Amino acid sequence: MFEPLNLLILVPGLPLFAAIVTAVLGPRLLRHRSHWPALLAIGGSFLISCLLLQQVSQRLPAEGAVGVEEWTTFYTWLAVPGDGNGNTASFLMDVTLRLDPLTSIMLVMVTFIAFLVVLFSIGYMHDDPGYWRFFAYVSLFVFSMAMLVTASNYLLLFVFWEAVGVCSYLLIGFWYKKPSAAAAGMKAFLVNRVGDFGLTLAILLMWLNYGTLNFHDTDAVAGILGQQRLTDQLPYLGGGIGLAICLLLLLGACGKSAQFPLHVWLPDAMEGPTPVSALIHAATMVTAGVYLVTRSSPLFFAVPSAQLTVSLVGGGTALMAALIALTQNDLKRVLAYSTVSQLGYMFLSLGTGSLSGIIAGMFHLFTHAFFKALLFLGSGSVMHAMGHVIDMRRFGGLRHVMPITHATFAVGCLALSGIFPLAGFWSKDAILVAVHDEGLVPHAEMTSEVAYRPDATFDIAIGHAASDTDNVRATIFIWLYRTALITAFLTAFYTFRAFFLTFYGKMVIPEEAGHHAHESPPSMAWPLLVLAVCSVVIGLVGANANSGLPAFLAKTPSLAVLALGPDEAAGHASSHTMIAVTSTAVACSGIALAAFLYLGRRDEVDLLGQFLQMKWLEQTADLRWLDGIGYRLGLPALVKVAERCGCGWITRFFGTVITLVVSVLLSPLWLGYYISPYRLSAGKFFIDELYQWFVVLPILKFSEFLYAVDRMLVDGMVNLTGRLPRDLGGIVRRSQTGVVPFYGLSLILGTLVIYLFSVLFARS
Amino acid sequence: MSLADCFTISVLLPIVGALIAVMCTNRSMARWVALGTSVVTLAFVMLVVVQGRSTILSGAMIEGANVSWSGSASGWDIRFSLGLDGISYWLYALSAVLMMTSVLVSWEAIDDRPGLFYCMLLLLESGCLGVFSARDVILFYVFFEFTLIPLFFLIGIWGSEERRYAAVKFFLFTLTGSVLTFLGLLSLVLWAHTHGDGQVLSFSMAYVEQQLAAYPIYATHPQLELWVFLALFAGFAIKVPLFPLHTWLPLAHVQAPTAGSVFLAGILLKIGTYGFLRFSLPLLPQASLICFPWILILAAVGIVYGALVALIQEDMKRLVAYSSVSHLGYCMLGLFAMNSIGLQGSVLQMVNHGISTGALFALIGMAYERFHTRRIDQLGGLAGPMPWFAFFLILFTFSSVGVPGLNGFAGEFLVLVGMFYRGWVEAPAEVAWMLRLVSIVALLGVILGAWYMLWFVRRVLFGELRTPHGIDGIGDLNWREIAALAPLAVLVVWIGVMPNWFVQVIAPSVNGQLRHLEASVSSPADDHQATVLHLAEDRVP
Repeated sequence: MFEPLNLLILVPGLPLFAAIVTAVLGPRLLRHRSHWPALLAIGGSFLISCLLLQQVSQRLPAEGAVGVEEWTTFYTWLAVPGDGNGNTASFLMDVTLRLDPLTSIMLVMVTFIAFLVVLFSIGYMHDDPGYWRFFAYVSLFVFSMAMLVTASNYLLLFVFWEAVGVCSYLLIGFWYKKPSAAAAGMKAFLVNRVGDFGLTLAILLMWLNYGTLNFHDTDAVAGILGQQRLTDQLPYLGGGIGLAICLLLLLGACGKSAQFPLHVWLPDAMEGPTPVSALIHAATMVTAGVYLVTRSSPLFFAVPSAQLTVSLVGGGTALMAALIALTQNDLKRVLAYSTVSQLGYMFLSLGTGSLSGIIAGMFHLFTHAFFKALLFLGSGSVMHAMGHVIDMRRFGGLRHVMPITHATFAVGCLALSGIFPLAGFWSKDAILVAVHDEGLVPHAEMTSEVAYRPDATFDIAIGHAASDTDNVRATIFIWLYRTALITAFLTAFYTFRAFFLTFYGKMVIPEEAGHHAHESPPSMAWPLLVLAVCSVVIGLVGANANSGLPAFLAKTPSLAVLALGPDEAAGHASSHTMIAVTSTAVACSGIALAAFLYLGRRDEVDLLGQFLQMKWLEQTADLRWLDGIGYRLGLPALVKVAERCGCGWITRFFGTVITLVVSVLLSPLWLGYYISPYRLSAGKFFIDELYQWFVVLPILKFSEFLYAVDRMLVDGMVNLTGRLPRDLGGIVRRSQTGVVPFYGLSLILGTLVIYLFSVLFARS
Repeated sequence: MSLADCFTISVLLPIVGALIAVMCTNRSMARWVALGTSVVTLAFVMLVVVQGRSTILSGAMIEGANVSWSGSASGWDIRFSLGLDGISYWLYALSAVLMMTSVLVSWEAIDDRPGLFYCMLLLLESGCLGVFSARDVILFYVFFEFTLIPLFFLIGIWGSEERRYAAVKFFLFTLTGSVLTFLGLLSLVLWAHTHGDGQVLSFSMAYVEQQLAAYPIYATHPQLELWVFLALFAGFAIKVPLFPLHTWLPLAHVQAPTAGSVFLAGILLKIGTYGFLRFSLPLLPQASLICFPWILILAAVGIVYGALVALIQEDMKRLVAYSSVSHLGYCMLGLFAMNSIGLQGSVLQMVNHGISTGALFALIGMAYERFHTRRIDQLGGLAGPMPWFAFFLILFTFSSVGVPGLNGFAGEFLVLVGMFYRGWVEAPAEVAWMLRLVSIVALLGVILGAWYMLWFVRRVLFGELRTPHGIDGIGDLNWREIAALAPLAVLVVWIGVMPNWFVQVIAPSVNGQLRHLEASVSSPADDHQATVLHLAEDRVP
């Protein structure tokens, strides 16, 4: 038996215990010592995670095997046994935790970052009235996140997928008195719910088609990602249902990992305390989508079109978010869009479908966690000193005031830009290589698929039409490679734009800072230093694709199988050097441009800004200017003549027509003004507004309509039915006059009527 | 004292308490009598629940008193016979738990004729405990109607502005339906009688069930079965309430006193779904199979419709009332998915909805006591001065929204699993696409559910502090109010973390009900085979 499994429960267990202790004792007993349970528990979790990592690496199997995994079941969450004849379905979900290379890496990363963030928060949150609440929430989050990555069942994963969402909701809205924070929390939860709709649907479809939701095999049934299915060639679903499952999983991943079109919540989530942004909205929770897709890669492998979608979504999001980040003035929002963009990079890489691509995505997830947490904590340090001002227009030149923050932030920026030999360089390079190779050799990728699943018909089907489909696919990947390079350039540019704006130029300090404008205390500086060191060296664990982290990750069961294919990456070593050089050059030129524009005097920036705002088109959007065109064409004279003849209305009519025609003809110009590149970027491509106008408002209007229907029509019918007996009774009641002659008359008349009817109808 | 005695006492004790309470003239005595009665009743109920668990797990029934009401010479055999099985087990327990909450939330709120108020409340409890444990058709119907009268007075006397209108509407609406239901029940009894030995007219449910299994109506009179089904449907669907028969519910909720709302949402609505599960599904299987796609459509429409209408409500109680329409849609969905998973999910969802919505109404009542408003736009930022209130409101909101780890998710997910199984594997070919659409539409309700609840929470709890009468004297929940909510909060977490402990008990009885249904389907195995084959075509060989 695998003894470390007994320790595994402690990794999530300790933070849960800390959360409960803090929640119970925090308000009265612990108060300003409320950080101790979280600090100790998460520290303990980190040490245990390291031990587990070491244990797993000792158990790595020899070449060619299908990975290492162990699992342990705690209790049955829900079991509905079938009736035994197979007539009714059985449903079973155990709370099973697993340990494999992917999980152990995630655990180490999550607990390490969480520990540093908690350390940082001691200083950052020190006089907050909700001090204990903060640490209780963070501990709860670490518990949920640790459970998410150790769950060995899609439903259990979903449980904690939602749980981290709840923690995120609570922490974004931590300062609940701020209306914007409360709104951001709700938005995050609701947008994630849209993703969860997809994930739930995917889970239900998987259950219907695979008969289980377990990753691992049990005696009764082969798990979805179990050894039986991976090695014994039990088929994965292709076709419509397979595609549906993958796309729905992707929808869920897009929600959590803030990919287009569900990325809108993440920038708003920056309303939460900055340590939370670092931990949850940069390093850990938002990577859950990447983790999900990585974990499910065998499912995606059976559906090449779903893989391509993953890449397209990722590449598109990476570029879009980078473009938005260029013009943001809020330091944390720049970093938030940068996170969206980097997550897009990871998805781009996962979608390549090659082992090296998936591992590169995970590798980038790993390095990104360090340098992005560093950048966020650095911005938190700035914010702390500036009295919670985060608008870069209101401060500047801080490098002398905050030397440690300045130095560590610089390291983070260099790592994010992908400068050799910092962490970001290695992982970004690995992604670029993977994407580049997909565009290079369509047939090589085919052979690996066939090798993986020789009996699968979909491969053969593609094989027949190989030339066309694969050429299209290769072309797409060539373009995605170029997109990635452009994104790399933009990344370097906006990162250093923010860096220069914050730390260079004239020293500006907002009045909110008061006498607070100094370097942060040691409890905040140490995490920055540790993360900076990590951001420099951590990339080396993946520098060589055949050892270290990549080789370790490749022993994850759902990935190990992909390794059985031929290693086509080795064949293009020379082009890989070229890619490394290109990407470095691109990053350096981005930094150079930022330095040119933002170091020293910033005149060029204003010029460029005006150019990109298309100021010269402004007048075409002015209605009075449009209206004046007619006059400039010499129409007034004509009007005068016409008015003398008494038919001025004709000219006025034609004047209006001309104005309309001109404005339609000029529409490219004034549209160009309204959606100029600058406005598009600063307005975040107006995606929030589009949602507001085309989703939220129509639903609300429809609800109002329904409510009106509910009161008038549905309830009206009910009331009508209720009134019917009374009204009918009312009619009859009026005949009860009490006048005897009336009764007599009615008697006679009634008899006559009956007689008449009987006569009339008796004949026919 | 045997288990049977405890069981019988637990059902009748509230009536005794009610008689004492009505004689109390001052408020403090009346409420202490009510609290004492409800606590002792709860103790008896817990005793039954704990001791009877093994009985239920073995598939048997917890038996209570079984006394004849009419002499054996009369040719009638109406019995006061009580029994609990897995379907009624948790609903029975929940009735007792919610009564304690109801008494505690009325503690300060009721000034007017308190003795009569607590009398009505305790009578209501007895009615609810009775309706779930009755094993005789007439007894069931007596309790079924018996729940109406106390609630009618609770709404009509202690309600808000439009209480008379609301009470009358509630009464007439549900009475109309239940008269038809009574006809349906009588025809079931008569059918059982005419196919029996013809000696004594027995109203025993067990006898009716046994006779209808042996001589199903559809075998000879398919038309009649449909009519009986529709008669039962009238009463039960109004109780649930199934869209579009729901309009009495928001009105009754808004006007009812807090305790009335808690009990109405928590227990009374479940009598409808319980009736479907107890009578319609097992006794009229063929009619159920004919009607189920239509009922599923109504349920799915209700889910989305209730959620959408809740989205724009400004009145807290009306918002939660419409959310009930939406949630009860899930219960109906699970019921008429008509497979074991769906039914178990449905029963669990009934309990869950009772807990979370009951608690939400209690919380709204607590806010009303402080601010004398139910309007959401008049409140804001309450999380600051009222952290306990905020804690409970957020917890029960998450439970209602179906956040995993809390109770709502377990029920909702089981219902969806059952429904998806019905739609993809067990669907009759001609309606398959419709059932799949229903499944997906129902899933959409999950998004909308989060929307209206979080919107409500955000406006009431977060942002700037705002109350109608200034910010002075806002007190957080006191110990009494916390005590009213704490048991429900424990249940929310308990069911969420270990739903299996709760579902296990439901399973045997639910499968028993299903057996009739399966027997009525001509060749279920072939259909199943066909669908599985159909699915297999999509797979990669």
